[in-house]
Amino acid sequence: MDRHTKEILELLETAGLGLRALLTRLTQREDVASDLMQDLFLTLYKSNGYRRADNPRTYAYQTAIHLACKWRTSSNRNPQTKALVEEPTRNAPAPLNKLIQAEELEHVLAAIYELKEPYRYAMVMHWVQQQPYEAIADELGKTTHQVRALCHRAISQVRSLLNQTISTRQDR
Amino acid sequence: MDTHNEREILEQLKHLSQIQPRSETLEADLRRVREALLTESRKGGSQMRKIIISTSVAAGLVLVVIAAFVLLSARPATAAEMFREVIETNGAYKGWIHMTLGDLQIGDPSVLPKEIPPLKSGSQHVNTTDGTIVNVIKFEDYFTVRFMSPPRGEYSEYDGKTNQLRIGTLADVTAKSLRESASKSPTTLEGLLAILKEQQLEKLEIIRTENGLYDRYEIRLTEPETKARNDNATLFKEAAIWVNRTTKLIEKAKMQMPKNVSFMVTFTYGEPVINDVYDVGVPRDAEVVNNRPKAAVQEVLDRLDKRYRQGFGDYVAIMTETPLREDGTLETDMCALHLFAQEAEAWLSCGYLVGMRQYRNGKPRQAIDLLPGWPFPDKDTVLAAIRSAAPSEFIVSDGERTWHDYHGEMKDKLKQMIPHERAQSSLPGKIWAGRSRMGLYGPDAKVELVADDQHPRLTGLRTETMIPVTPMTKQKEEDIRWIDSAHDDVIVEEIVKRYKLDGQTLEAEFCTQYLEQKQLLNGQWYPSHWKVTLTFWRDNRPKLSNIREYHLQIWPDIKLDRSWFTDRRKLDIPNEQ
Repeated sequence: MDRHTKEILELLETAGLGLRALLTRLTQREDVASDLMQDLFLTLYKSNGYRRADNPRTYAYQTAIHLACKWRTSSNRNPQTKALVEEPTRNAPAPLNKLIQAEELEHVLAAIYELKEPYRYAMVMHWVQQQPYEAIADELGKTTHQVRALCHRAISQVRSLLNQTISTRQDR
Repeated sequence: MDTHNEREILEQLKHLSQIQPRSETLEADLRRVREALLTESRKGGSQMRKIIISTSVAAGLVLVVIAAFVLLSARPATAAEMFREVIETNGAYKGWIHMTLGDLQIGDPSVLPKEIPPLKSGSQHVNTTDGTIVNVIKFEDYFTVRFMSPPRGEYSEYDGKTNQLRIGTLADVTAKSLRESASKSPTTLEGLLAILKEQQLEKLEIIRTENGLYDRYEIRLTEPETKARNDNATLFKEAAIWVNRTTKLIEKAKMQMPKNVSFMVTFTYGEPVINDVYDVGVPRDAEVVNNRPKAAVQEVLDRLDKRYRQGFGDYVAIMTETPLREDGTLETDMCALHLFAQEAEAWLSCGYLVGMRQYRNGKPRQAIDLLPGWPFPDKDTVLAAIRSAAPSEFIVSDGERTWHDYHGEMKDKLKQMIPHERAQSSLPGKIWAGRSRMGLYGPDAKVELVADDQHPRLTGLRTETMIPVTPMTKQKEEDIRWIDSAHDDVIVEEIVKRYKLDGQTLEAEFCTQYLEQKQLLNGQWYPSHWKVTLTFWRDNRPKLSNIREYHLQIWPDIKLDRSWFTDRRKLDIPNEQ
């Protein structure tokens, strides 16, 4: 087996579960996450960027976020979102709750995808993947203070994008 | 919707972060990716050995041995998933199994959500004969109890902080699931090993040693798998299991989890029998809040459940959904259409977007064109237009298999969600919302009959449910629906209010006014026209979000051909006969 294949398989072993979880969270669809997971690794396998990356794991996560964004904005994507935290054996969310959660979450996700890197990466890794600032700082080669600032600026940008979206919808 | 603040955005992100992929699909996914990579690699002429990873196996083992850890799980959904894994096992023991968690060490406090106070210990008690399950969690200053009893249909929770016992109803679907899982609880090493074998446990090392009266088994993940699981705190790294050599029953297990979490679980069998919450230490002077519906309410709910089950027999129905402008005219560029049908055991509910193909912000909108005669399009025109269009949401069953836009084919454990999803999505579910659709189960769900002067001759049902948001927080939702008993109990008005986490501040209001009723040829009544107003509240002020109008047409005894009742994501459909 060549070294590159070995490295990609190692990435799958060490980060596969985390990447799959991220794709599920960002797409909110198990079937799509499953397909994107395969696309992701084949993309990485063929990518020169991945071969050259200083931190292949970070590169893989950035690619996963990009693929999820691409899927969400593609014409085939399902516009409806579904909350995955629903659990049949507990109190089920009532229809209104689902509707509101889905709508708000959809807008937040759409705004996240509008962000530029490294804001998007920092925000997703910290608040969606629950990574500490320190870990993200290591991955991005920045200080913890810088990552904290990135995350907070990202939130502020998302808020601004969301409020623009509201104006647009109210104008309709 | 009003403007957002950062806290609300963070709440949404927190909600996302709690989503977990379904464990049963992970293994297959990783294998698929690995095979795809190997195929790519082989194209380049290199050879490779097959690597087997067994994610769900490890999860299965952990779940089996450490049901008590469920109590400590940071994510409720995962906890339920974990417990459902127990279904996979083949234990033969009948009676009470008591599992007590001890010697809990949490090296990395971030494993648990911040809102959970420091844990002291916990125990889980399962009656494998009838599915009763009792969880006791002890914190530094108080303890909580969750009691779920399928034979009594009871779901109660005791909170030692308030010394309050809330008694509610156990959903039928949960009762069934508990009975099945409890009857299969593994108590022997053979039972465990059978599961491990079934789940291809090639990557575990198992070492047996003799330890006094016990056989001690050390189970360890091999190094690559340990690394692969570092992201997931619910999977173990090492386990030691003590099995009584005479009885063959597991008596003790020590688990070493990632992030420096470790604990011991002791198993005892038989006595003490647990008859109620008081048998696990709930004080007799605890305040009892009985939220189970009174007899008069049960009668109405029984009636609604029955009407929901009967539905319209075989039928086809089309519901159009159209936004209203401020001047009350229909805004026909952002509409939706819903197709409902039933034919013997087969049924479907599909939603389609109608109108513009692009949102104002330029994003694509996968929609069909507005149909002639909107909002009362002709049935055949509708069927022809959506025949090969992809629905934006759907649930379809051919009577044997069921497909869902998000879940895909609902098989194995997902099957238990079908009744719930059907109640939420089907037309009879919308018209005659019964216990399942209204979420009238759990210790916090309240329902009562109400009456007022504005709704003479109508039956009012007021429900209050608490929706779990995080492991320690719930959100209140209040629903008042008025039904017309003189017209087959069809719904006439509904107002849903959702409150913020403080339980006092209104967050959103969803008001549905049913404006017209019609009758089928057999005399059955149904609502044919209604209006929904969605209002968000910010700073105690209403901000109207949107108003939508719905029109419903039903054709009883009309049948769709069977090709409609299949996975709607796969639209390789033959031409209409």
